[in-house]
Amino acid sequence: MTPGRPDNLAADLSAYLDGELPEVRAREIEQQLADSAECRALLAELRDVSQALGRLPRRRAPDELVAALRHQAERRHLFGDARRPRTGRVLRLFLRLSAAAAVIGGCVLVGWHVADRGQTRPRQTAPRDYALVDRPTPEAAAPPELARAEHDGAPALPQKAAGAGTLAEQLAEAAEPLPTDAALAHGTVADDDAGTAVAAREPEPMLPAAPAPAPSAAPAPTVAARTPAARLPRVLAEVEIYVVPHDSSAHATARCVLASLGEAALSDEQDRMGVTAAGRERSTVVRRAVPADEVAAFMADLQARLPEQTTVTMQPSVQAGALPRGAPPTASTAEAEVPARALMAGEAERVRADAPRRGAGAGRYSAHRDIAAEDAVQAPPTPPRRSDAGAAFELTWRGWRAALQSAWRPAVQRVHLRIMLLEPAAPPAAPTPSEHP
Amino acid sequence: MNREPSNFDRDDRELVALAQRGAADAFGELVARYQDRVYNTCYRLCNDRAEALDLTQTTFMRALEALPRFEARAGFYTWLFRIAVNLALSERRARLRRRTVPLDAAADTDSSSGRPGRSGSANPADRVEQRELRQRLEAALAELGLEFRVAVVLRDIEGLDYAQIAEIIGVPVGTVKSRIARGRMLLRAALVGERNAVDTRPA
Repeated sequence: MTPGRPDNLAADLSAYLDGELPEVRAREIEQQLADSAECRALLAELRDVSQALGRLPRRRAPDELVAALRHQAERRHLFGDARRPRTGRVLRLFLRLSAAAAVIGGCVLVGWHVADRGQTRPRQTAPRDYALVDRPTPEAAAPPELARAEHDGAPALPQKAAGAGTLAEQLAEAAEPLPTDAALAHGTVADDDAGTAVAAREPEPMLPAAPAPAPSAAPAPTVAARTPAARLPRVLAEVEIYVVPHDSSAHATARCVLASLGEAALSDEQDRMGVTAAGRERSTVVRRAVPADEVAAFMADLQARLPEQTTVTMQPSVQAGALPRGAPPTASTAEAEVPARALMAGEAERVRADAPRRGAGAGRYSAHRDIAAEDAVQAPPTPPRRSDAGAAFELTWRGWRAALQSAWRPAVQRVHLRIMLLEPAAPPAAPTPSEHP
Repeated sequence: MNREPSNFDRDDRELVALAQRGAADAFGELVARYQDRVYNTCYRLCNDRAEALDLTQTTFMRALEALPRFEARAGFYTWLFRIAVNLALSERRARLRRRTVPLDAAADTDSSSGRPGRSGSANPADRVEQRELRQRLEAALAELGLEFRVAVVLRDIEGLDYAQIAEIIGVPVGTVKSRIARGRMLLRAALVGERNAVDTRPA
């Protein structure tokens, strides 16, 4: 290497490669390159290194990172500076845990949907929503205790939920040890009997002793008529819960996530019920892993935050490993579409039997069909094939509890409970009484 | 994950301005734009998945916190990378304090990075088998002193120019030039096995 110190020459060749040399120096280098084969060889090697680096595979941000980042941006927006230190700490834990919990897949994912713009809707409940957003009620601090309620006892329901806490109580069944196989049998009946079976289960002694829902607190199930021509209700929010079995290895992780998120996580719900602090309408998906014994508390909390007349649809599906022997707990799609309060009060529930999702593409979720009419003609569902490792199938929304309590439990990896909160029925259009049996 | 479609068309500056006014979806869009690049860079800097995850998240967290003070003097992603690189450097310093044997002290000399090529015959121009080359390159990159690695990664992987890199690292352009050159020479030596070719010093 000719003139100048070799390192300077290398630096200049390298910079020449990048087009970063001043014009004068670049001409000098070109002269040297013309004169010296050694220079040309070095330049070629430097270029090879540079190009090889450029060809190294790009790594995409892993899903859990993307989810955590999204969560981070959203939370920060919702809570502002006051939550900053906590947010950071929680998120780092969140990230680690969700990385660890890849098994249960998207352990805590929070996404958001921006509502379709331009569509306005009457919001009688808006003042209440705003109130919820602006100042979380003191009761919002209750969920941590709830979330930690032990599964060997009925979770202590908050006072405010006493009037209409029946859903939580029903869900608390999931936390109860399975009393008998006979009880399980109720969960395994064919779908067209599911409603009856459910009704038969309600008075069972394992239900927590709680005041029966007062009819006044629970308006009649004004299921809006979903004729094909009917306007589709907008989805205000979706809550997707991954229910993790007690004895799942993911249970502890889910518990940690819940505990670490604490009241902040649960009070997120209210911020997401269709209205942000900025007052913009939006729809939100909240996904959360909840241990089976804490579903009741979670639901109780959620329920207490629902605006009245919010319509809820629930779509549980179960993901399981190798399926055990024995009859599956009602392998079918279930759909209950009733006003939130009515559902919470354990009143009318419409269940649509459908083929398992894997069966010939049937069983796709359809929220707005007139499902009652179909119930009559629906053939009994075929159970999932036993050999299906990692099978995903759908259950009645009560069936998943049976699955968690039954001999199936070891196979159940998680229950994906999707709750869609639809906008309240518009007041001018008087809701047609449903033809619900 | 629907976002307002208009955000896709907005440039960084608009999104930053929106985010500074509190639009979470604007910041979300910025994150979505750069999460892959930041993660990839962090991965190349620390060569460890978990650390890269942590670095990336901390980077965006810091960015979110510092956003109100961000002035659009530099580009948003330059600023973002600056945060990431500073985090990587300080993480490395913290690690050095924890360890008794410093990593970079060795790496800054030729001893640890000028590993002879195994075949001895391979010249980069001769193209050893592509995958083997890649593996050796990745290994050599991971062994490079962090200062050089940062410069080389930002230049050859991220494709930034010297001025941007200088802004990110916070050193003069001349230093960037010599670090890139030295980094490339060290990598070349690792690939070629010519240790005598790396007796260069940062200017």
